[in-house]
Amino acid sequence: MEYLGLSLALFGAALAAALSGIGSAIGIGVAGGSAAGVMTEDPNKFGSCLILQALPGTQGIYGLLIAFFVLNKLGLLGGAGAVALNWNQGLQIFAACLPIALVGWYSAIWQGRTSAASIQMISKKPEAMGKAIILPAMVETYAVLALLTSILMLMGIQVG
Amino acid sequence: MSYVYTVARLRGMENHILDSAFFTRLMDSASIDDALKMLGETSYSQYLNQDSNFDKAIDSEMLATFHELAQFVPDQELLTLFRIPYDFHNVKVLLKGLFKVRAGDLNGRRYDLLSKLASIDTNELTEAVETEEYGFLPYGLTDVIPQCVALWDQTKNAQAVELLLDHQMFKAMLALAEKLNVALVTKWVKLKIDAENLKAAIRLARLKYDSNHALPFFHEGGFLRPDDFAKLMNEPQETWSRILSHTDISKVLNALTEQQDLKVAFSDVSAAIDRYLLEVLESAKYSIEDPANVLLYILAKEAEARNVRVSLVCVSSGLDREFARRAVIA
Amino acid sequence: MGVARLKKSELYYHKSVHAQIAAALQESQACQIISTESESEAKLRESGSETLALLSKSEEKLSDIRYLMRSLTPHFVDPVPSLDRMLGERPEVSMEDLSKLSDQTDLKVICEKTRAVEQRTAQTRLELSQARADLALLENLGFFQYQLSVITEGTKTLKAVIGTVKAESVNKLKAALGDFSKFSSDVDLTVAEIDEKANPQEIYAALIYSRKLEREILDVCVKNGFSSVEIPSHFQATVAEEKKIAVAKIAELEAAEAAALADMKALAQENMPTVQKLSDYWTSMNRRWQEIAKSENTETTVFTKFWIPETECEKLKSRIDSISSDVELVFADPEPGEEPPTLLRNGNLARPFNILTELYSPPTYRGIDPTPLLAPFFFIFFGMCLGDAGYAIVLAGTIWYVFRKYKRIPAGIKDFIKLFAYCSVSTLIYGIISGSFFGNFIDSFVPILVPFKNSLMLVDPMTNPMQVLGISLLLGVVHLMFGLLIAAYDKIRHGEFVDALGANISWFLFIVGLCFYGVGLGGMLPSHFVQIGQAMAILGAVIIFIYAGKGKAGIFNKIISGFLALYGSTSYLGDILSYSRLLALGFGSAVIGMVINLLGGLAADIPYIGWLIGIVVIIGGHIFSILINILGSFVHPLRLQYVEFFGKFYNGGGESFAPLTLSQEFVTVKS
Repeated sequence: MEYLGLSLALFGAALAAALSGIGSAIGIGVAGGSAAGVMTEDPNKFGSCLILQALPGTQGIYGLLIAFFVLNKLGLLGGAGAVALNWNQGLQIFAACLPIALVGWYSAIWQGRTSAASIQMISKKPEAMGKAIILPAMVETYAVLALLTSILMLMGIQVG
Repeated sequence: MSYVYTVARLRGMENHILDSAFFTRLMDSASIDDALKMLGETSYSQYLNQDSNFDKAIDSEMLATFHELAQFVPDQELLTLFRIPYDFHNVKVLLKGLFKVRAGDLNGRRYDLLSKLASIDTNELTEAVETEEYGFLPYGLTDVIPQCVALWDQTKNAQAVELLLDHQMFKAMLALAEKLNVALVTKWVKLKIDAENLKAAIRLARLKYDSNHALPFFHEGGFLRPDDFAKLMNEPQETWSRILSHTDISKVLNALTEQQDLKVAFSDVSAAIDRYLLEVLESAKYSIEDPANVLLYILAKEAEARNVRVSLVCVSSGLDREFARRAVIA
Repeated sequence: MGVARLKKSELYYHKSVHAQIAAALQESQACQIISTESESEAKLRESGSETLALLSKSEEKLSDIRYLMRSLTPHFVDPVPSLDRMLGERPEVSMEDLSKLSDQTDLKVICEKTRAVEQRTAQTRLELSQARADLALLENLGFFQYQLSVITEGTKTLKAVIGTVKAESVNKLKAALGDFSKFSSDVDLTVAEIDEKANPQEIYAALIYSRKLEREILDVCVKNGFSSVEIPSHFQATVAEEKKIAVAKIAELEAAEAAALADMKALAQENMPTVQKLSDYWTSMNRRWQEIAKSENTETTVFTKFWIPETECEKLKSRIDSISSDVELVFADPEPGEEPPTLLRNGNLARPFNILTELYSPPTYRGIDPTPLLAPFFFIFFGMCLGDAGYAIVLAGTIWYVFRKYKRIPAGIKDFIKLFAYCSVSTLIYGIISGSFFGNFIDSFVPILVPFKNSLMLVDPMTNPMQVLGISLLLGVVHLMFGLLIAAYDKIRHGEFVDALGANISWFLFIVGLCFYGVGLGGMLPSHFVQIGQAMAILGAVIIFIYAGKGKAGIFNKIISGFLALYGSTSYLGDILSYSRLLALGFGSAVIGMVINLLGGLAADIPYIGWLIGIVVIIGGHIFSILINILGSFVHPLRLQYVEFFGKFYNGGGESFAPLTLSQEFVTVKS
């Protein structure tokens, strides 16, 4: 049982990176399908489409960021070796990973759908690019808040 | 392939659909040559050749549109839905020819009237009808064609045969739509059947049919039953919209209440029905992946093809432009 | 500063100088023509026939140009890359040059040449596909040994037909045809050998029959599922010979197709530069006459109305005066009921931020221009989100290179690039004070500089994020309160004192009071701020409560709406918390940088080639990080402006000033 804490913490880090990565992949995939459709008819829109497609990608990065944060905290990066962790602390770290894992996952999917709709919008109204970019960014707010929650929780947890 | 791609690509393609400004200019062209030159700047150009047979060019463009859509629409049934009417048109042409040949008119076969837009290859259909091997035909044609032949042998009533085919056509369309399982598409097909019945009802009312005689003319499968339409025959047309007030379609009937002349009312109601059918689908515009967007695009393309035809006919025969303009905008 | 003052000008001139005046109005690029509403369209058409003739001429030219652009562009290799073209690397010409070029160039001739080559290509392709189809057909007819002329022409007594029949119907057909055998050798059916592996459903068959039985035999065939295949009439020799001919023809046609494409390419290379220039010229002309057609005409004079920025009036007047003395040019201020278009005019510092306002919606003519108000906040927010000195240096360096290489960048694009140049400054500053240089590059690889870096640090988001969160939220409060005060100012300007007090100032007092109270309790401000804060918050709440009840009937309704209004403070809480993204994004770019350095460091431990992989990982990773973080750092501060800040006072709703300009897609027009 001595490694239970470490395992729980790693499980949390894995979920943070994996779930938000899955979400971003789905979101970017949906937006990419839309972008490809618009570009088939109008290849000149590549620039605007690419920006809109990239928007749901940040959740995956946020998840990765938290995962690294955890690894760093556990001392698994670099040669120093893992810190000792009891199961209680492991569970705390696991809990701290959940906000970005869950919110990152869902918000990326919905942001992708909004991006897809925005891409369809600029196909009709290229001059509305500014508005088209803001709509998906509204969704991302909640991923940012979840990231913040995860970071603050991790910072508060004492290990070692 | 997902509908997200499909719908986005359709949005791009919608930008190329000719707008009313184009048709105004097209109708203002001095001669058919000028008009064709103008059309040469559009996607129709590749089908326009020297002999200026624009009917063929318009059909080719429609066919090319179906082929293009077929490449990226995940459910081919959506396209078939629009091609089934052409299939039944072809069956009618072939059967008419067959009956004529049997009656001794050896030149009765009119293969030139067959439409290429049908989903069944015309050669295959011709062969099937000529060799009386209907086994492989879709849309219930396997059973309905022998019925038609038998009916003709008994009654020699061309109208009855057409009606039989029309019933089967709407049945086939509804079956196809239900197979797709997209709420909006099914609703649209059902409303289309209602709309067809409503148009028939007005026509029959003009001819003073009573309920019993009118009943066979109405198709099954809509939101309203054929009975409901047949009952209308016994009522004055001003009251129809009140009788149907519990249904969605009643609002297109305003023209009937206001317009005494049934002929004018008919064209008003027809226009209102077409608008309503389009409105129903338009809610799909707000979705990034509703398959009904495919229907919307095909309807827009069909409207465009019709407008090109009207404009060119108007220019080539020197018809009254005001009349054509009204036809195009409707 | 802010919305530029416009003048409404009325210009009367003689028809003889019509063309020069139109040119002057367009080349000033500062006049937005107003259509004279009194005239009906039909009357306009009648009286301005001269303008309409010019308009239709430009449309005719444009139609040719559009055709050429469409046909030639796919074959044209542009010597100037499109990025360079966008950044101003395009030929510089004057309108006179273009006009001369247009006179010298016969577009019709180019069109004819192009059309000829295009038709040749299409014809060749058609023949090629025909020849290929012929060959494919011949491949299936190997079983037919006679001359094909038997089919295409027939002999005096015999005729042949080739077709396909379903595999299962072959015997049926044979049996049916057997009925004719009483006429001895009148019918002969040859069936192709069936290749079991290939498609056995359809079998090719040839039928030779006597002409006198043609109708009966063909009828039997049709009924038994024999469908004839059309054999092109030029097939005369045997199948093997025809095959040879077809192969030779295909080779010949392929060569012809290649030649036609080469001709097209040569045409494109030769004519495209001219066509592009003329495209700009005739697009300009088309715009010019379309706008001028809005003028009013009499027998001899023309009357044009337009909006013009006040600053441009003098320049235009002297230009018009030099054309003719028979003109009357009157400038007037917009009347109270009129709604002129909006032109944002800001000083050098704020101008690049105009685009942010325009992306949202420009203000109305008499409204507030929010650009200078949002500019400092956007500047700071962007810096906090990107927040890395190294990234700032890369960004600034790239912009410096672009400005050095391209001297003629169009104004709009230049402003947009400048916006990022400004923001790189705030990024650099925040990067220094938060100790971020390519993430933790200094800590990881140049430990010797760590004391220096640390000595410049004022905040440390990595170890003390609460401090930065506090700063972010504080900036949020300042931003929002600023928005409230602007709204109050705007209302007072229009004499709505009560509304300003009830809807804006009250909230200002309430929220600032609460902040003072909270911060005072926390011990970060002297304790008397607690009392001040308390007083402000209570005063604010009371005003909000009373104001909400204004206009409601009955004391009960007044109380309900008062409480509802106070409950609205939750939306302010949400607004303020939204600024926490400043911390999160800045933190994000720092940590991504850190991760890249870490990976690079790990890679460097691989023996022999590790250092190379490490460098690739670090450079590639940071480039990726810069791109993705610039996107985030642009979008999120923009959202804070649009949603949180504009939500307090700004609706936009104006119409952008859209003067009659010259088309400069392919050329730069010098005046």
